[in-house]
Amino acid sequence: MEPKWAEENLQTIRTLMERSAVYRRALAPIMLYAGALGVIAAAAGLVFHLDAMRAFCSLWLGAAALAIGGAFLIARRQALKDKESFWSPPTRRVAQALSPALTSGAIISVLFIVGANDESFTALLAFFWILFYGCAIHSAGFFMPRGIRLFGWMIIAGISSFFAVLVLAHASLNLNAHWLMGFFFGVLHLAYGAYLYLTEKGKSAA
Amino acid sequence: MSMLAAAPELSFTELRSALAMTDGNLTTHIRALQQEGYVAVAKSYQHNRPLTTCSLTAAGRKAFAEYIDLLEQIVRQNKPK
Repeated sequence: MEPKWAEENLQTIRTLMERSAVYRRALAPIMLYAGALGVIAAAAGLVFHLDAMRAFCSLWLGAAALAIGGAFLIARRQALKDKESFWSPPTRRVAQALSPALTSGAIISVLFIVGANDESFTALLAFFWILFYGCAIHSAGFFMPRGIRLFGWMIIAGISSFFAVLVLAHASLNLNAHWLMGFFFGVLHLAYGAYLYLTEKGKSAA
Repeated sequence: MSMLAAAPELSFTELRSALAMTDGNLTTHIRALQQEGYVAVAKSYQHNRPLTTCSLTAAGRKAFAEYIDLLEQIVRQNKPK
Protein backbone atom coordinates (compact mmCIF):
# COMPACT_ATOMS: atom_id res chain seq x y z
CA MET A 1 0.00 0.00 0.00
CA GLU A 2 1.58 3.33 -1.02
CA PRO A 3 1.74 5.91 1.80
CA LYS A 4 0.43 8.66 -0.47
CA TRP A 5 -2.57 6.51 -1.27
CA ALA A 6 -3.15 5.98 2.47
CA GLU A 7 -3.04 9.75 3.12
CA GLU A 8 -5.38 10.48 0.20
CA ASN A 9 -7.72 7.76 1.34
CA LEU A 10 -7.82 9.25 4.84
CA GLN A 11 -8.59 12.68 3.40
CA THR A 12 -11.42 11.23 1.29
CA ILE A 13 -12.82 9.47 4.35
CA ARG A 14 -12.63 12.73 6.35
CA THR A 15 -14.43 14.66 3.59
CA LEU A 16 -17.20 12.07 3.27
CA MET A 17 -17.71 11.91 7.02
CA GLU A 18 -17.98 15.70 7.24
CA ARG A 19 -20.43 15.76 4.37
CA SER A 20 -22.63 13.13 5.94
CA ALA A 21 -22.66 14.56 9.47
CA VAL A 22 -25.68 16.80 9.01
CA TYR A 23 -27.61 18.51 11.76
CA ARG A 24 -30.26 16.01 12.81
CA ARG A 25 -31.97 17.53 15.81
CA ALA A 26 -35.75 17.56 15.55
CA LEU A 27 -36.79 20.89 14.07
CA ALA A 28 -40.55 20.65 14.66
CA PRO A 29 -40.46 21.91 18.27
CA ILE A 30 -38.15 24.79 17.31
CA MET A 31 -40.33 25.81 14.35
CA LEU A 32 -43.53 25.60 16.40
CA TYR A 33 -41.98 27.65 19.21
CA ALA A 34 -40.64 30.31 16.80
CA GLY A 35 -43.97 30.42 14.95
CA ALA A 36 -45.96 30.89 18.15
CA LEU A 37 -43.58 33.66 19.20
CA GLY A 38 -43.96 35.33 15.81
CA VAL A 39 -47.73 35.34 16.03
CA ILE A 40 -47.68 36.69 19.60
CA ALA A 41 -45.20 39.43 18.65
CA ALA A 42 -47.30 40.44 15.63
CA ALA A 43 -50.44 40.55 17.78
CA ALA A 44 -48.63 42.67 20.38
CA GLY A 45 -47.38 45.05 17.67
CA LEU A 46 -50.86 45.49 16.23
CA VAL A 47 -52.69 45.81 19.53
CA PHE A 48 -50.24 48.24 21.11
CA HIS A 49 -49.54 50.14 17.83
CA LEU A 50 -45.77 49.64 18.04
CA ASP A 51 -45.32 51.24 14.62
CA ALA A 52 -42.55 53.75 15.28
CA MET A 53 -39.18 52.48 14.00
CA ARG A 54 -37.55 52.13 17.44
CA ALA A 55 -40.61 50.42 18.98
CA PHE A 56 -40.92 48.13 15.95
CA CYS A 57 -37.27 47.13 16.12
CA SER A 58 -37.34 46.66 19.90
CA LEU A 59 -40.34 44.35 19.62
CA TRP A 60 -39.03 42.20 16.80
CA LEU A 61 -35.37 42.10 17.82
CA GLY A 62 -36.58 41.13 21.30
CA ALA A 63 -38.73 38.39 19.78
CA ALA A 64 -35.72 37.23 17.71
CA ALA A 65 -33.57 37.03 20.86
CA LEU A 66 -36.28 34.96 22.61
CA ALA A 67 -36.59 32.72 19.54
CA ILE A 68 -32.84 32.11 19.34
CA GLY A 69 -32.60 31.51 23.10
CA GLY A 70 -35.55 29.13 23.05
CA ALA A 71 -34.18 27.26 20.02
CA PHE A 72 -30.86 26.89 21.81
CA LEU A 73 -32.54 25.45 24.90
CA ILE A 74 -34.72 23.04 22.88
CA ALA A 75 -31.74 21.79 20.84
CA ARG A 76 -29.63 21.45 24.01
CA ARG A 77 -32.35 19.44 25.71
CA GLN A 78 -32.55 17.10 22.73
CA ALA A 79 -28.78 16.65 22.75
CA LEU A 80 -28.74 15.84 26.47
CA LYS A 81 -31.60 13.38 26.01
CA ASP A 82 -29.64 11.61 23.24
CA LYS A 83 -26.49 11.77 25.40
CA GLU A 84 -24.70 13.67 22.66
CA SER A 85 -22.64 16.83 22.67
CA PHE A 86 -24.72 19.94 21.89
CA TRP A 87 -21.94 21.88 20.15
CA SER A 88 -21.22 19.11 17.65
CA PRO A 89 -19.55 19.71 14.25
CA PRO A 90 -22.92 19.70 12.43
CA THR A 91 -24.32 22.27 14.90
CA ARG A 92 -21.20 24.40 14.42
CA ARG A 93 -21.59 24.27 10.64
CA VAL A 94 -25.26 25.28 10.84
CA ALA A 95 -24.36 28.21 13.11
CA GLN A 96 -21.56 29.25 10.72
CA ALA A 97 -23.94 29.05 7.75
CA LEU A 98 -26.58 31.17 9.50
CA SER A 99 -24.14 33.85 10.69
CA PRO A 100 -23.40 35.98 7.58
CA ALA A 101 -27.01 36.58 6.58
CA LEU A 102 -28.24 37.08 10.14
CA THR A 103 -25.36 39.47 10.88
CA SER A 104 -26.26 41.43 7.73
CA GLY A 105 -29.83 41.65 9.01
CA ALA A 106 -28.59 42.98 12.34
CA ILE A 107 -26.38 45.58 10.63
CA ILE A 108 -29.22 46.76 8.45
CA SER A 109 -31.39 47.14 11.56
CA VAL A 110 -28.86 49.56 13.02
CA LEU A 111 -28.69 51.49 9.73
CA PHE A 112 -32.46 51.84 9.62
CA ILE A 113 -32.72 52.91 13.25
CA VAL A 114 -30.01 55.52 12.80
CA GLY A 115 -30.69 56.67 9.25
CA ALA A 116 -34.35 55.93 8.51
CA ASN A 117 -35.99 56.46 11.87
CA ASP A 118 -39.47 56.81 10.41
CA GLU A 119 -42.58 54.65 10.69
CA SER A 120 -42.97 54.50 6.89
CA PHE A 121 -39.73 52.52 6.55
CA THR A 122 -40.74 49.63 8.81
CA ALA A 123 -42.20 47.62 5.91
CA LEU A 124 -38.94 48.02 3.97
CA LEU A 125 -36.95 46.93 7.02
CA ALA A 126 -39.26 43.91 7.41
CA PHE A 127 -38.58 43.04 3.76
CA PHE A 128 -34.82 42.99 4.36
CA TRP A 129 -35.15 41.03 7.59
CA ILE A 130 -37.32 38.36 5.95
CA LEU A 131 -35.09 38.20 2.87
CA PHE A 132 -31.89 37.80 4.93
CA TYR A 133 -33.59 35.23 7.13
CA GLY A 134 -34.63 33.21 4.06
CA CYS A 135 -31.03 33.33 2.81
CA ALA A 136 -29.75 32.24 6.24
CA ILE A 137 -32.16 29.29 6.34
CA HIS A 138 -31.20 28.26 2.81
CA SER A 139 -27.47 28.33 3.67
CA ALA A 140 -27.99 26.32 6.84
CA GLY A 141 -30.04 23.84 4.81
CA PHE A 142 -26.89 22.47 3.17
CA PHE A 143 -25.96 20.98 6.56
CA MET A 144 -29.47 19.85 7.49
CA PRO A 145 -31.98 17.35 6.19
CA ARG A 146 -33.57 18.13 2.85
CA GLY A 147 -36.59 20.40 3.04
CA ILE A 148 -34.95 23.21 4.96
CA ARG A 149 -33.42 24.65 1.80
CA LEU A 150 -36.85 24.55 0.16
CA PHE A 151 -38.30 26.38 3.17
CA GLY A 152 -35.61 29.02 2.74
CA TRP A 153 -36.48 29.40 -0.94
CA MET A 154 -40.19 29.69 -0.06
CA ILE A 155 -39.44 32.59 2.27
CA ILE A 156 -37.21 34.32 -0.30
CA ALA A 157 -39.68 33.80 -3.14
CA GLY A 158 -42.65 34.77 -0.99
CA ILE A 159 -41.30 38.08 0.26
CA SER A 160 -39.74 38.98 -3.11
CA SER A 161 -43.00 38.28 -4.97
CA PHE A 162 -44.99 40.27 -2.44
CA PHE A 163 -42.79 43.33 -2.85
CA ALA A 164 -42.53 42.89 -6.62
CA VAL A 165 -46.33 43.03 -6.82
CA LEU A 166 -46.38 46.16 -4.64
CA VAL A 167 -43.74 47.89 -6.73
CA LEU A 168 -45.34 46.93 -10.06
CA ALA A 169 -48.73 48.06 -8.85
CA HIS A 170 -47.12 51.34 -7.64
CA ALA A 171 -48.74 50.64 -4.31
CA SER A 172 -47.66 52.43 -1.18
CA LEU A 173 -45.05 50.71 0.98
CA ASN A 174 -46.69 52.34 3.98
CA LEU A 175 -48.35 49.12 5.12
CA ASN A 176 -48.41 47.69 8.61
CA ALA A 177 -45.26 45.61 8.79
CA HIS A 178 -46.51 43.61 11.79
CA TRP A 179 -48.82 41.69 9.43
CA LEU A 180 -45.85 40.88 7.19
CA MET A 181 -43.68 39.76 10.09
CA GLY A 182 -46.55 37.82 11.66
CA PHE A 183 -47.12 35.92 8.44
CA PHE A 184 -43.52 35.03 7.61
CA PHE A 185 -42.14 34.53 11.12
CA GLY A 186 -45.40 33.36 12.68
CA VAL A 187 -47.87 31.59 10.44
CA LEU A 188 -45.33 30.14 8.00
CA HIS A 189 -43.19 28.74 10.82
CA LEU A 190 -46.22 27.28 12.59
CA ALA A 191 -47.30 25.61 9.35
CA TYR A 192 -43.82 24.21 8.67
CA GLY A 193 -43.47 23.06 12.27
CA ALA A 194 -46.83 21.27 12.06
CA TYR A 195 -45.76 19.64 8.79
CA LEU A 196 -42.49 18.44 10.35
CA TYR A 197 -44.32 17.18 13.43
CA LEU A 198 -46.83 15.18 11.38
CA THR A 199 -44.36 13.61 8.97
CA GLU A 200 -42.53 11.32 11.34
CA LYS A 201 -41.71 8.08 9.74
CA GLY A 202 -42.52 4.65 11.12
CA LYS A 203 -39.83 2.01 10.78
CA SER A 204 -39.83 -1.68 10.09
CA ALA A 205 -36.64 -3.65 9.72
CA ALA A 206 -35.90 -5.15 6.33
CA MET B 1 -18.89 3.27 5.08
CA SER B 2 -17.27 6.66 5.67
CA MET B 3 -20.61 8.40 5.33
CA LEU B 4 -22.42 5.88 7.49
CA ALA B 5 -19.75 6.17 10.18
CA ALA B 6 -20.61 9.84 10.71
CA ALA B 7 -24.40 9.54 10.85
CA PRO B 8 -26.76 7.29 12.82
CA GLU B 9 -28.37 6.33 9.50
CA LEU B 10 -28.63 7.61 5.96
CA SER B 11 -31.28 7.02 3.33
CA PHE B 12 -30.47 5.28 0.05
CA THR B 13 -31.15 8.51 -1.87
CA GLU B 14 -28.88 10.56 0.41
CA LEU B 15 -26.06 8.05 -0.14
CA ARG B 16 -26.70 7.97 -3.88
CA SER B 17 -26.57 11.75 -4.36
CA ALA B 18 -23.61 12.26 -2.01
CA LEU B 19 -21.57 9.54 -3.71
CA ALA B 20 -22.85 10.27 -7.24
CA MET B 21 -23.46 6.59 -7.90
CA THR B 22 -26.16 4.84 -9.90
CA ASP B 23 -28.86 2.86 -8.10
CA GLY B 24 -27.45 -0.46 -9.27
CA ASN B 25 -23.88 0.39 -8.33
CA LEU B 26 -24.83 1.55 -4.85
CA THR B 27 -27.10 -1.45 -4.30
CA THR B 28 -24.23 -3.79 -5.16
CA HIS B 29 -21.93 -2.09 -2.65
CA ILE B 30 -24.57 -2.05 0.09
CA ARG B 31 -25.43 -5.70 -0.52
CA ALA B 32 -21.77 -6.71 -0.25
CA LEU B 33 -21.38 -4.81 3.04
CA GLN B 34 -24.67 -6.24 4.31
CA GLN B 35 -23.49 -9.79 3.54
CA GLU B 36 -20.32 -9.15 5.56
CA GLY B 37 -22.46 -7.92 8.45
CA TYR B 38 -21.09 -4.36 8.33
CA VAL B 39 -24.26 -2.56 7.24
CA ALA B 40 -27.90 -2.95 8.31
CA VAL B 41 -30.69 -2.00 5.91
CA ALA B 42 -34.15 -0.97 7.09
CA LYS B 43 -37.19 -0.44 4.88
CA SER B 44 -40.08 1.77 5.90
CA TYR B 45 -42.50 4.31 4.42
CA GLN B 46 -42.41 8.10 4.43
CA HIS B 47 -45.23 10.11 2.84
CA ASN B 48 -46.56 6.83 1.45
CA ARG B 49 -43.28 6.27 -0.39
CA PRO B 50 -40.86 3.44 0.37
CA LEU B 51 -37.80 4.58 2.29
CA THR B 52 -34.63 2.54 2.59
CA THR B 53 -32.14 3.53 5.24
CA CYS B 54 -28.69 2.14 5.95
CA SER B 55 -26.65 2.17 9.12
CA LEU B 56 -23.38 0.67 10.30
CA THR B 57 -23.57 -2.36 12.57
CA ALA B 58 -21.27 -2.73 15.58
CA ALA B 59 -19.07 -5.04 13.49
CA GLY B 60 -19.05 -2.43 10.74
CA ARG B 61 -17.95 0.34 13.11
CA LYS B 62 -15.19 -1.90 14.50
CA ALA B 63 -13.95 -2.84 11.01
CA PHE B 64 -14.04 0.80 9.89
CA ALA B 65 -12.12 1.95 12.98
CA GLU B 66 -9.50 -0.77 12.37
CA TYR B 67 -9.16 0.33 8.74
CA ILE B 68 -8.63 3.95 9.80
CA ASP B 69 -6.00 2.83 12.33
CA LEU B 70 -4.20 0.89 9.62
CA LEU B 71 -4.15 3.86 7.24
CA GLU B 72 -2.90 6.19 10.00
CA GLN B 73 -0.19 3.68 10.88
CA ILE B 74 1.00 3.58 7.23
CA VAL B 75 1.06 7.39 7.05
CA ARG B 76 2.99 7.61 10.37
CA GLN B 77 5.54 4.99 9.34
CA ASN B 78 6.27 6.71 6.04
CA LYS B 79 6.46 10.27 7.31
CA PRO B 80 9.88 11.79 6.49
CA LYS B 81 12.03 12.13 9.65
